[in-house]
Amino acid sequence: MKKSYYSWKTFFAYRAQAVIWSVFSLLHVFVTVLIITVLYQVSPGIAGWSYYQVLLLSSLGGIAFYMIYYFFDPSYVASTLRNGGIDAELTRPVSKFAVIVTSNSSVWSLITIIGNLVVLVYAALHVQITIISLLSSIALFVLGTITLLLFLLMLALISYHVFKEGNFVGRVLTFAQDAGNYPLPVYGTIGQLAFSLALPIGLAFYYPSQILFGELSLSSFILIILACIVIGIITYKSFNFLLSRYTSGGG
Amino acid sequence: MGSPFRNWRVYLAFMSINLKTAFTYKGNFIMSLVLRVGLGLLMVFVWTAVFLNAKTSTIRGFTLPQMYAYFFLLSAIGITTMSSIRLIIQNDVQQGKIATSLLKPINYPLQTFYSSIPMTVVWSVFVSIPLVVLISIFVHFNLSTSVLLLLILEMAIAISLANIYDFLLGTLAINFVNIWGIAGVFFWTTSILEGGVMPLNLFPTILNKILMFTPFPIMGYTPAATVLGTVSMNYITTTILAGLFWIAVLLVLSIFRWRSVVRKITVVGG
Repeated sequence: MKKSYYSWKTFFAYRAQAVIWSVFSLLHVFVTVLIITVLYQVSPGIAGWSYYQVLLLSSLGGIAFYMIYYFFDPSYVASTLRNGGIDAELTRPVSKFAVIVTSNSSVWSLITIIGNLVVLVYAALHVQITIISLLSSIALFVLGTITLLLFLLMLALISYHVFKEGNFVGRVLTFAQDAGNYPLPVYGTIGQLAFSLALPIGLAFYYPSQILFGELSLSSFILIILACIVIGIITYKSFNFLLSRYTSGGG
Repeated sequence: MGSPFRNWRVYLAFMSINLKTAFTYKGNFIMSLVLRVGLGLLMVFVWTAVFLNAKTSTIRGFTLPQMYAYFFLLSAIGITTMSSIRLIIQNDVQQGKIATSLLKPINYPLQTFYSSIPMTVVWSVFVSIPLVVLISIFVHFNLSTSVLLLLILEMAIAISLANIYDFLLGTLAINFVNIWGIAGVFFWTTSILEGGVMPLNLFPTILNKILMFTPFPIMGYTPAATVLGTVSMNYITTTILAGLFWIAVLLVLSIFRWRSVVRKITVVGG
């Protein structure tokens, strides 16, 4: 809580920068909406999804990504490990996982979350949603986003060990965000599998959107929950293993 | 700002250092390349779905293969027009190096320019050119001598504009210290207006006509559309002339801007 308060104070320390970052955060949402709108002006649909369904999917994706960013920036984690900037924190008698997850709060991402939330509500008003599908979707969204967070933590550590810097994970994130704006069947069966298991953005917001529109069977729902748990455990274990191999880069 | 050819050996040393730096993180370089191509591939999938649903062979003059080619060409153009001048200035301001740089008998704006070139050259040689060759094989567009000459002229204008822009952006670091946010807003906006997110002719006609007189189309849409042959000669000429006009305006602006901010530089010493 104190850390979050400190991050907000730091953010507003440079007022001009804070305003510019806020504009930048909202511009990201605007560009996504613009692209989807133009695409639907020239085509009646993408992979059988309506305009509002795709808007809802992309905004849900934006919320998932920026919720993760709110706690930590994977690129920053890799870069900080590289220059030993997190060493002092890691020696404290608290969970190393907690230290890294809260290492760099990008508070400006809250503005993007709010922007995406506005788009989400607007889109949701144009699609039919039942209470059961909404609750199932929220449950899956939370579980999927935690899985994605654990995956990105592991990726940050891989970025540190293999590439010795954070640009790699930053680029993967840009790629994942762009890919997540559209329904996964667009990328074919292999693409859908890759975005569900290898880079699990589908678990965080594609399948939650599908269940929201009542397009996911109960067996698929259970299978996705199982996938979230399995991937979550594997990535968490990998994160701990990679962190145990960490040797300070600072000095 | 001084002639770019005076003391060229000194500036060559800056280029050499930055060229070595560009190759330091090889794994990162290769993965950046893979992911950049991956971003183009995403648009291939999305536009395939759009064309399949639209049940038409052309959308605003673009066939599906041309649309594929457009995004990869834009990627190649984006890499070639990439500049790191703003990052160099920002780092120098944040670390206080700008003060010592100004004491040296070299022209600081030129130093930043020469330091930025190597990365652009490396990316252009290893990514942009192979990408254009690959696209030409898969999409079979005819790159005639006249189109090639036109493309070279357009790219020269685009590179000049991108570097002057980046310099102007970089000088804001002297006022704001951290310009990540400003640069972010700038690049998102530029990316839309230069056709980076989609061809400009998909935008409303009136907006497209206004954009013709701005410096943006020449930095992305015009070169790509010239290669693909999806744009009129009138449009090409107008955007080239607009590009030249904006180079002159921005160059004068950057000279005045530098003269103004160089007096205000303060550094956090230690």
